[in-house]
Amino acid sequence: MRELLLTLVCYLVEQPDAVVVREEPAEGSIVFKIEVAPDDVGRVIGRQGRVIRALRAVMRAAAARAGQRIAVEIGQ
Amino acid sequence: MKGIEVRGRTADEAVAEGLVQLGLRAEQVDVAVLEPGHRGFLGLGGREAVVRLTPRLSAADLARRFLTEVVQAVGVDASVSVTEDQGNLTATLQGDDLGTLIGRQGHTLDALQYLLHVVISRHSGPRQVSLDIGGYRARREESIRRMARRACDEARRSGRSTALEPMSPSERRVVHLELQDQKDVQTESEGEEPYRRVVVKPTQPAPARPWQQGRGGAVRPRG
Repeated sequence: MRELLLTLVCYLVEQPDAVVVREEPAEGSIVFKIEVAPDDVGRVIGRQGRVIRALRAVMRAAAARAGQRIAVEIGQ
Repeated sequence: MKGIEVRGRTADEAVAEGLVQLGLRAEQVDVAVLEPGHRGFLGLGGREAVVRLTPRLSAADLARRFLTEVVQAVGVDASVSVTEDQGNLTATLQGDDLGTLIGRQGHTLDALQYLLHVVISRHSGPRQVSLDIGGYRARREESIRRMARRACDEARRSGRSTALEPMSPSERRVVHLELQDQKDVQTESEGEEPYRRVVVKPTQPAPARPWQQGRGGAVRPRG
């Protein structure tokens, strides 16, 4: 799952080397925290949040397949 | 992708030589001039130019790579095919067990298509990108056409506006197109995304119904 998010985000940013995806267990779910270079934050969020919303949709589908609940956040 | 280094009397000559070696056109490579070179004087003291040519990934190749990696990471078994027509990309995933990637009402499919579109447009400039998974779009389009025709019949029969379920812009377009030749109804989109939906409106009152109102009976008042 983390692999998938990392793959997607790396395609979206200008500096893939700076991408970090942290996995934090929360109650009954897993929270994925994305960190990217400051210039790339907007690229991961997208206009009106469209990119991050699409990321979440894909991640949720993959998680459901694995019987998991997840959340995706952009962290600092 | 690895590039090649080429030498020549001038940078332009080196680039031309490199393109011949790679069998590519100028717009298919990125050029870095490592050493501009100069001619020297009377053939003395000149220095060769050195350039590096790196083949540019085509939009179709990038789409193929992106989708292959996504499919792998999700863990489904699917074959990826991408075709390019006048710069617009059509990508297709085929395989078993692709429901995960389609999602309810194609929600996941739409999200993936959007991400693919963003990745391709940032790399190769804006262009149309469409993605289908397991023939979903074709099936969905047929079922939308059916729903449109049913709503049209209903609007005609009842003389009232009839709404369809909320749909994405491209799906609503299918409804408008399906009913555009029906002279006695109009279609309009109403509401806000993501609940925007097409409403089919009759342009004429419902036909009088002799079996309900008696022969020659008055037309039922419309509410």
